[in-house]
Amino acid sequence: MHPSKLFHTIVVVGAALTGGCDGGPAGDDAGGALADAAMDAAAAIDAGEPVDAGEEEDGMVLIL
Amino acid sequence: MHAEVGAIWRERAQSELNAASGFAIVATELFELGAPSAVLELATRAVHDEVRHAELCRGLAERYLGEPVAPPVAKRVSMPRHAGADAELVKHLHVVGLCCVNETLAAGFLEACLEATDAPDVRELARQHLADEVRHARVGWAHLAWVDAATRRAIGGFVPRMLTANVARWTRRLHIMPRAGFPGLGVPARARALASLEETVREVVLPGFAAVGVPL
Repeated sequence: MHPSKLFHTIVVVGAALTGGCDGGPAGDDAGGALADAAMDAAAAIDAGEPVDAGEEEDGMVLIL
Repeated sequence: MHAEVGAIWRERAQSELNAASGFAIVATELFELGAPSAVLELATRAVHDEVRHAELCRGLAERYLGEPVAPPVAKRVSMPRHAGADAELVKHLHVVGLCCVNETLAAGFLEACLEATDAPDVRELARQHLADEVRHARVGWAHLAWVDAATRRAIGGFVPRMLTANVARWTRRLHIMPRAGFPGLGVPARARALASLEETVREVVLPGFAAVGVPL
């Protein structure tokens, strides 16, 4: 499933169960910068660089 | 190779049962928040789904390991504290973290697993699993479409750190997988799994927050 189809299947269909949304998968600059930051951290972890795990310890993540 | 694949499925069995525990807590919190029945129906069903997934994963672990595998340990998972949020906002953040972030990322990951699956039984499991994760993710997006604008703004203040921390956690978890994966057995190459993570963040999660009016 293409990510845009996944967006529709999950977000648009899910939101439609209650209030709905505009259905537009247009990101904004803040979202793009956030994605860059998150994936930079992921790349550092993938490369084996030490990365502060403080956010997990600070109670931001459900550890499954 | 089969021992490694079996170990991955055994780890996933525990993770699935932990997710059931998380959904049980979130379902209770949704009742406390007065969530609409469409959300409650999906959330309560998710508890059952995750327990079933744990058993399916354990079955695959036994198949690949060639020996009995003990059931995963049932326990109450520790929910994120979200320091700085009041008690009601914490409940909303639990829904968002589990469903809009974790289950949505899981759906993207399962798509990558499905691509890497030839074995008919594993493929059927991955297909069922993906369909369930899509419904579990919808809990969060349906919830966000229901809450008022002030709550969406408050949630938006926590999303950046929550998302970054979850992506980091997912990346660490993907490192239990062999770099080349096990093509055909539902274990994608690590690079493909990481790419699916990025695609899902950029093309599903972040546009999703924009679409339901959560400012980032």
